Amino acid sequence: MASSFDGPSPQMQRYYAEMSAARRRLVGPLAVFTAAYYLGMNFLANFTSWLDGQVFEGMTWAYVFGFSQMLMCAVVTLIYRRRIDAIEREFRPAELDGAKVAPTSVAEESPS
Amino acid sequence: MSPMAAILFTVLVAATLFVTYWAGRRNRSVESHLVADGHISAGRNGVAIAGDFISASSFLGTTGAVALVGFNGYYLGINLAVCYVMALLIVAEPLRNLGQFTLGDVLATRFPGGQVRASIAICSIVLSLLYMVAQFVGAALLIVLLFDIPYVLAAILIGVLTSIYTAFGGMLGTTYIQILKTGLLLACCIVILIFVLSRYGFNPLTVMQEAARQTDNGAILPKRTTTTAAIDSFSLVFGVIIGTLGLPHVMIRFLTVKNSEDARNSAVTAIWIFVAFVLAVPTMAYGAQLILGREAIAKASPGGNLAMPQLAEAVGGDAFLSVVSAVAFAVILASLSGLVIATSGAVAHDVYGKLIKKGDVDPAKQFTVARLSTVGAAVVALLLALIFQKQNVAFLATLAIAVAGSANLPGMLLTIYWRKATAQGLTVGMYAGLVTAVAMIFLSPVVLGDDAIVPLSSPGIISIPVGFLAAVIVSLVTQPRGQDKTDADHVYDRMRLQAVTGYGAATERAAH
Repeated sequence: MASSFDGPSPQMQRYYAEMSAARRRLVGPLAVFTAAYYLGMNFLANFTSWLDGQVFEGMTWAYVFGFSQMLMCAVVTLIYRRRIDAIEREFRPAELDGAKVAPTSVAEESPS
Repeated sequence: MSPMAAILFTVLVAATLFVTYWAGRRNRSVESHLVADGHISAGRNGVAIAGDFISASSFLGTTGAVALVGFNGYYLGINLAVCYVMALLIVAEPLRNLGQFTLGDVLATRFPGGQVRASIAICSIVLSLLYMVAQFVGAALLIVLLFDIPYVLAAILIGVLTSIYTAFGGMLGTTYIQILKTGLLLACCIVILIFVLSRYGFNPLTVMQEAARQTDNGAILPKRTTTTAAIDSFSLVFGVIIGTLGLPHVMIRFLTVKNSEDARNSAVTAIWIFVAFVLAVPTMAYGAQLILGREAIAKASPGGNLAMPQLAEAVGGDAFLSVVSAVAFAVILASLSGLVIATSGAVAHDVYGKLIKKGDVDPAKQFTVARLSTVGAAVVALLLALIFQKQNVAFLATLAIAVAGSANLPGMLLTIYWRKATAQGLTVGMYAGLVTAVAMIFLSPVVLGDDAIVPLSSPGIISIPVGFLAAVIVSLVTQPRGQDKTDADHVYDRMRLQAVTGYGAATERAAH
C-alpha cells in the first residue's frame, strides 16, 4: 500500500506495523469468537433442548455454558491484553509519551 | 419512607453534592466538562464504566428476572461482560486515539465536512433522549416503590439532582459519583451474598440446588415458547451486544483517559467487575427466590425489580433495606448523569461548535453552551417523563440500543476499518439504520399490540444489517476517482496511523 503522509519517525512506523499486524491477527478472530460463543448459547437455549440436561443436581448445561461465558471473557481479555501490552513495551516510541523526536522525511513511504 | 431510609438518603445526596462541589471547582472548560480533560486514571475510569453499565436494570432488573424466570433472565445479564470484551477488541483504543469529545470527532478525522458529523450527532441526540426518557420513567417509578413518594416529586427530584451533578460537576463529578456508586453497589452485593450464603453452608451450588428443587428444575432450565419469541430473544441479545458499541454515553468514557493504553486498561478493569457481578447474580437471585418466594417478589413488582430490596429487608432488616434503597437511588442518578453528559457533548461540541459555528467558537461560550445543554437535556427528559408517566416506555431503551447499533455503529466501524467508506455512504447508512429501527419498533407488538405488522419487539437483527448494508452499497456506488481517490486514500492512511498508534492525536485535539 503506497501511502503519502509526512512525519512519522522510523520507530513510529515500526510500532504502527507491529501493532497493526497484531490487531489484524487478534481482533477479528477474537471478536467473532466472542460474539459466536455468546450468541451460540442464546441460539441453543432458544431453539434446541441441548442445554436442558443436568450435569449434576442443580446445574444444567445451560448454566455451565452461562458460567463459561465469564471464563471466555476473562481468557479473551487476557490474550488480547498480553499481546498488545508486549508490543507496547517493545515498540512504543517515546515521542508518543511527550519526548521530542526529530521528524524524519518519510513522505511517500508506507508506514507498514 | 422510614427515618433510617430518610437519614441514609440525605447522607448519600449530601455526599454526591460534595463530590459535585469538589469537581465543580475544577470544571473550568469545555474539555473538563465533557471529558474531564482526559485526566481520569485507567483504574478509576474502569470502575466508572462498570458503574455506567451496571445500572438499575442490571442490579434490580436482572436479579429480579432470574429470581422470577430463572435461566432466561440470566443470559440477558451476561451481556454486561460480553459487550465490554467486544468494546475492548473493536473500539476502545481507536476511539481514544481518534476522538476528542464525541463520537462525531471520530468520523470527522476522516470526513471533515458537516454532513457525517451532523448525521451521527442527530442519531446520538435522538438515541440519548430515548434512553434518558426510558431511564427517567423507570427511575421515577422505582423511587415511588422504594420510598413511597408521589411520581411527580420523584421525577422532579431526579431531574433537579441530575442537572446539578452534570451542570456543575461535569464529567469529573459524574465519574466520581459513578465510582462512589459502584463501590456502594458492590459492597451491597457482597453483604447480600454473605447473608444468603450463610444460610446455605457458604456454597453457591447449594443455593442453586435448593432453587431447582423448589421449582422442579424450572429455575435452572432454559424456557422456550414460540419460534417468534425465540427469534425476538435472539434479536434482543444481538442488538444489545452490537448496539452497546454505538452508545455515546458508554463510549465517551474512553475519551476521559490520556491515551489508548489507559483506554484498554479501563475496559479490562470494567470487564473484571462485570465478570464478578455476573457470577454473583444467580446466588443473589435464587437466594431471593428461596427466602422470599416467587409470589412475594411478583406481588411487590411484576418484573421482580424489588427483589433485591425485599431480600435486603428479609436478611438485614430495615437498616439494610434503607442502605440498598439509597444505593439503588444513587445507581439511578449516576446512570442518568452519564447520559446527560453524552447528550450535552453532541449538542455543545458537534451541533453548536462544529455545525453552527463551523469550528470558530469562543471556548468560554462553548463551555456555557455545554452547561446549558446539560440542564436542557435533563429538563427535556424530565418533561417527557412527566408526559409519559402512564405509558409503558420500556421499549424506548430497546429502541435506543437498536438505533445505536443500526446508525452510530456502522458510521463508526466503517470509518475506522473500511478504506472504501465514503461520506455519502455513511450518511445514508446511518439514516437507513435509524429509520429502520424506529419504523420497526412502531410497527411492532410493543406499540401496536395484537395488530402489529412486524412480529419482533427488538429490531436489531434486521435494522443493524440494514444500516451496514446501506452504508456499504452507497459507499461502493460513490467511490471517488482520480485525484479524489488518491486524497481519500491519503486521509484513510493517516487516520489508520492515528487510530492504531495515537500519532497526531495531540495535534488533532489541539486543532479541534
